[in-house]
Amino acid sequence: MPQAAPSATDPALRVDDLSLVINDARKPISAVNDISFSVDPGETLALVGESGCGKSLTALALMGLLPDAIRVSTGSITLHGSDITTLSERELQKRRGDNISMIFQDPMTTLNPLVTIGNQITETLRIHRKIDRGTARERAKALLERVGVSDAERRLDQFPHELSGGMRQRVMIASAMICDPDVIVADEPTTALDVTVQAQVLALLQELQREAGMALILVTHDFGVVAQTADKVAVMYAGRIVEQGPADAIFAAPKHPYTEALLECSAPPPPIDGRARDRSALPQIDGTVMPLTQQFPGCRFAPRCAFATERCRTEVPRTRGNRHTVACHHPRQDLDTGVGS
Amino acid sequence: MTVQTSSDPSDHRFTMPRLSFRLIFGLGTLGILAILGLFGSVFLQDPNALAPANRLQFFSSDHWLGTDGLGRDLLARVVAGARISLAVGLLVAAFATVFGVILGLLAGYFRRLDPIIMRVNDGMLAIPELLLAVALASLAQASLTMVVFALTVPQIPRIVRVARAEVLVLRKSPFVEAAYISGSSRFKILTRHVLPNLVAPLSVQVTYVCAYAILGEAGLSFIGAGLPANTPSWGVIVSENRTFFMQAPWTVFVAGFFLTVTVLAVSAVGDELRKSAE
Amino acid sequence: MFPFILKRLASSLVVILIVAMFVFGLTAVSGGDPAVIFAGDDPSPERLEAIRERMGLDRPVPVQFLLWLQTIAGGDFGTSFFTGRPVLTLIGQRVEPTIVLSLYTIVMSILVGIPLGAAAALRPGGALDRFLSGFTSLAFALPGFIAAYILIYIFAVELRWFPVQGYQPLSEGLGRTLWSLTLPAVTLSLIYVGLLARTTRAAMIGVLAQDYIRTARSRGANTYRVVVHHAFRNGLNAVLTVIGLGIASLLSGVTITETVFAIPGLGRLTVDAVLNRDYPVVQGLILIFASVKIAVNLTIDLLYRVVDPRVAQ
Repeated sequence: MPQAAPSATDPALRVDDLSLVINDARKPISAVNDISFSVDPGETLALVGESGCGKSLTALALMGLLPDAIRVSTGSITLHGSDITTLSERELQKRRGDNISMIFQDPMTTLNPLVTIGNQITETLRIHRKIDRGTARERAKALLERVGVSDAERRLDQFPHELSGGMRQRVMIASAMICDPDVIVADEPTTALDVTVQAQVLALLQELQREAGMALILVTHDFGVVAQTADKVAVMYAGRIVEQGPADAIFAAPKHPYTEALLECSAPPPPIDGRARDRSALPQIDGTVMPLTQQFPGCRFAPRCAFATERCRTEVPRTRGNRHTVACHHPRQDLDTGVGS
Repeated sequence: MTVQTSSDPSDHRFTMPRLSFRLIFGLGTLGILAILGLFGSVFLQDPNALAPANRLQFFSSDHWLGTDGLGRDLLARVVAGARISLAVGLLVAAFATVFGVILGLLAGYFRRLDPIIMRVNDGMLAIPELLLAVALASLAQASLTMVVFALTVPQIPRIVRVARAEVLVLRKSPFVEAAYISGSSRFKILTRHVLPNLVAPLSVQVTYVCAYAILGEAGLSFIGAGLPANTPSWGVIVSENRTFFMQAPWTVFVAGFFLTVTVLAVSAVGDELRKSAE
Repeated sequence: MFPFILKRLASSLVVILIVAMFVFGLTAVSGGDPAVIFAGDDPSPERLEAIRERMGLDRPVPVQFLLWLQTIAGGDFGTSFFTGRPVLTLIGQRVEPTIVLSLYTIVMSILVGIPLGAAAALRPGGALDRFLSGFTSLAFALPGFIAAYILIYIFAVELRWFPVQGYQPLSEGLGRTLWSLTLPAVTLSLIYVGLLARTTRAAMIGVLAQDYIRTARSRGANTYRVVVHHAFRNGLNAVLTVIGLGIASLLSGVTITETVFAIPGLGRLTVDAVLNRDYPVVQGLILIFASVKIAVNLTIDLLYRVVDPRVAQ
């Protein structure tokens, strides 16, 4: 099985051949298929794809927070030396917030409206550490200042509705960081924010991550965000990782037609050195993602792909390549000869 | 079923609930009680025939549900009580609906009347239901008419609220505005367009009023403020037998059982109506 | 907050005024001449005239209403036709059992109903949830006095744990009072527990599906913490509404329950006053009960604002 390059230390988080299924009354529906990736401490992995591709479900699986109707069918998620897919709820609770924490998309709905900012930030601390209220409050105040919220002392006693969206997301980040987790999963952390503050929040997140040496898994549909932050990129389509590799390699020479199309659609287009692109080939991605319930023997991108052949419709492509992998019968670049780093 | 657009008036209209166990139980029980209440006297004993020698008997082949403190056949009395309870339930539901809907339409459609009607409504709602009923029942000699009157008045504000809220929504809806523009009279708009759309939301409310009325009649009669003594009403039956409760508890429980099952049946129908309205 | 309280107080006053008009009208249509009832046996026409003049009965009806309102506002609820004693004195003598019974019922219902509803919400469709749904239907359909007799039969007649009826005043000690009121309180609680549990359940199911619940879980919160610290407060406003409704319906419920258990409270006083056509007492009781109900609603409205800082804005 192709894997990301081994590093000197163990990765902070490793996912091997993970599959998720939705328990349906008639027949289980496969939502995520055999995905594998890993992130090292201090590294940022971007999980990219359109909505419905399974990236948010994957994020929830990493937290052990899958909805009741969805379960892990095969594969493992290794965090801190243990496979969290086999842990009991009680064991998971010990790890959530402490070893791995999550930043959600919409800070309007993901902060409890009736709990003060201070109590939401310190909650993680009070669950996982023996610590008195006063000390916890001091820590929260310091962290709030660190994430750039002014007038921290007063903010601690305010409620979420008294803060702007950008401020709330900073609070969310503070609450996720307070126990110094090994891994942070951020699911579209800037999508719900004002365009003007998106970049600031993203920069802050990256800065804090580098400072603390945490691994960051960034779930996003936006290649602009990926370009700004990611070390590694995994592109998902319809529950599969179709392309994975170092960020600069993928930006420079995308191999999967889907990645290529996504890059082309993203605005502003990332700088691509000198290579002429055929803009008429894929000005936009036509069609929509095939519904999960639909059975399809081949590559699920085939119906939307300009390069699809008969083989694409009948046979699922294997994942090929070493550092830069792709699952495509007709990669746009030669395997491992793309303009890598 | 066809998909209806929101401007189509019929999407508010009454739809038949699906035949479920609860609905069959509800309608079946009420049907049996109604038949018993109407025709029971043909084949049952006289509910008022005194037989002091046979007082406080337990269930037997002569008296299926035993006898009360004066030796009267409890089955005959309870069946006669069914007639009274169902009549009270239906009459109160009907009167409360008619007056409630009229007031609700007036309040919802004629904005000048709204504050007056709604303030009086709030005042009525501020008085505990049973207290209001008891006070009203005391205004004249105990009779079925007084009981129905006393139970109807406290329920009217509830219907007014629901009807008014629906009218406020309906009057803004495209089909009512269209009727208005095309020159229909207010009366015609109210009766042709608004009224039919009240049926679904109100049908649920009406079944609850009916259940409350049946319980209310029993409560009023039990404390002596309802139907006159010796009337075979379930509340009266419990009240007149409670002195014998220690010796013959079934005299109290027989009427209580019928009362409970009847109210369960009415609210089962109400719940099913509510489900189909959603 | 303050302007809101003033506004609500003003509208409450309007409602009380309407209740007062209704109460006044009740006596007017009752037909009896208060002067005749008040004067006692066989009065002379001169005496009747004097009483009428003193009571203002010779004035036009609106004037009579205002005069009556004035005396009420001064704290004078009149004199009982039946016992000849001031209405407020009568009510004062009977208020203790009703207050204790109501508080006992509310506390019992909250302690049982809310945890029951919250537990049912954790597993919708589970065994507890189904039991709750059946219990609620039954509690609603079971008339209070029948529930009372069933409880008396089981716990007083057969098991002899509690007295069949009667009331032990607080001067005998709180323990004895509560002991004498346990069966009445359980009787009154039945509907209320069902209602509270059902509301708590619905509110909690709604809240537990919210995004911030997932956030709390992502911090490592366990079920207890999620329910108690995060979900419950968010569902509290719906529950508060039902607690308010419940207190209001208790005021109806005590009438019947106090009759069954021979408790000398306001409910029993109401029944006696009505059966005796003792209108000053009935008037006083309706005014007081309505005021309590309005005060409860006002309190609940204020509590909404305390629970949820967003409502105040």
